[in-house]
Amino acid sequence: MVGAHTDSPCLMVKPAPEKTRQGYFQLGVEVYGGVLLNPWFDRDLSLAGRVSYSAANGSLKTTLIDFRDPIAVIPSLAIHLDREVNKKRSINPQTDILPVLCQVEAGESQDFRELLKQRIAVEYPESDVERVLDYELCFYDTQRATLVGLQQQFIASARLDNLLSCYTALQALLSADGSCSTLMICNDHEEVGSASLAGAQGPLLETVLRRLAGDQPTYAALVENSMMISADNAHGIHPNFADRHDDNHGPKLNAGPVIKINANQRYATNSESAGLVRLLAEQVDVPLQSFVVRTDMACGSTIGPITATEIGVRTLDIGAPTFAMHSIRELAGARDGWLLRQLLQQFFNHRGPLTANAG
Amino acid sequence: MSQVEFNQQLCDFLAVATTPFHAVSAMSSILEAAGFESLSSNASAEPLAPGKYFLTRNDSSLVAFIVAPMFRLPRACAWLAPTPTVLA
Repeated sequence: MVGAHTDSPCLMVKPAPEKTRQGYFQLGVEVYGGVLLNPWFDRDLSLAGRVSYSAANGSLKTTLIDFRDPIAVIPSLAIHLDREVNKKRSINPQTDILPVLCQVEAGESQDFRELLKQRIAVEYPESDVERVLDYELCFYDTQRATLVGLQQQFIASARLDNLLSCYTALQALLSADGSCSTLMICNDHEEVGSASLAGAQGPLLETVLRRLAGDQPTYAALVENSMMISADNAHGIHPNFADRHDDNHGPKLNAGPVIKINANQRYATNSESAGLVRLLAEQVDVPLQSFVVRTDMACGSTIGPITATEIGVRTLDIGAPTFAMHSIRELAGARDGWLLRQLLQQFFNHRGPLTANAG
Repeated sequence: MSQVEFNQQLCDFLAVATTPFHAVSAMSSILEAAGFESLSSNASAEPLAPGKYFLTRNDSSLVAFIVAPMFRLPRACAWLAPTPTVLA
């Protein structure tokens, strides 16, 4: 099994979001997950997500919308109005990051739900929206993912954490030879702790495994004979901030996937799961790196320990090394996703035992 | 698929996967095109025949899986690696 997560830190629209200040129409936003806020200023933002509405016949419906165009921006404050900005800038998420959507005449405003109704009509001309009820909408950067660098060695994009892993796991599954039963799970809500109906702490994976097993003894054997690779990006050692890594554990971009280890179980890797993956990597000439956080710093986490806890399945944490995690534009190596895909495909096709001393 | 094609398709995926909902929608389309059968509900007790399946939860999480032909052999309830010796 391979697991990843579909969500990324972002700004989400509040339920009653309309604000008109100084003649500008703005939307109130909540911060979803651990957003690195500074890079959100001065970007060409669009808006997308899920909307629930009442149809003409009174029934409840949901649909996905995506404005696609840059419809909003969070302008920086000019340095002339904050001379200390480069020395001590802090951001108040309640007051400082409301996106600006348009200018309005004095005394006027915009009805956000009416805007959404119009957008649904644009995307789905056949739809029959009576009124928009609620929504889960995320602002995002419209700048497209692209290869960057003098030799195009890097991929710059939003949401590399963790769509890079979702896409890589998907490609590995599509390439699997099908001789072994294999599974890929991509959970929502990892960035906010995974405790939800769709999160890794919810029952989704267990219900699927129980259905596959059929009965309790088979389920127990299935879990016992399975392994989860939790794929989520790692922190590459940054040339400007190299002291933030342990000397001996500084993964480099384009040098291969990173096995993530933490004695306090913030990562679920153990010596047995890591040993197996190192052997599989050697079989397909995929180089591996390893990461442990500095002993004087707190460690991040993934769906790995949560899945291991919920299911009781042996687990390994691994991921592509990146810069700028949780920025609106992250950076990965152009080789690492590809290498991770080779490794996951080999894992999916592996027919031998997943444990040591199994004969 | 080459590394160049892989990265190109990754960039295409990132462009449409603007939210978890859109990511699941995009992955579902790719899976359907690859012959994976969409299971509308996980509530059924019917055993699944060997094949390729996927299902979603909350439109924002997704599980896709391949049930290998040997999955239902007697005692061979192995998952991922069919190694009956370890089940004995």
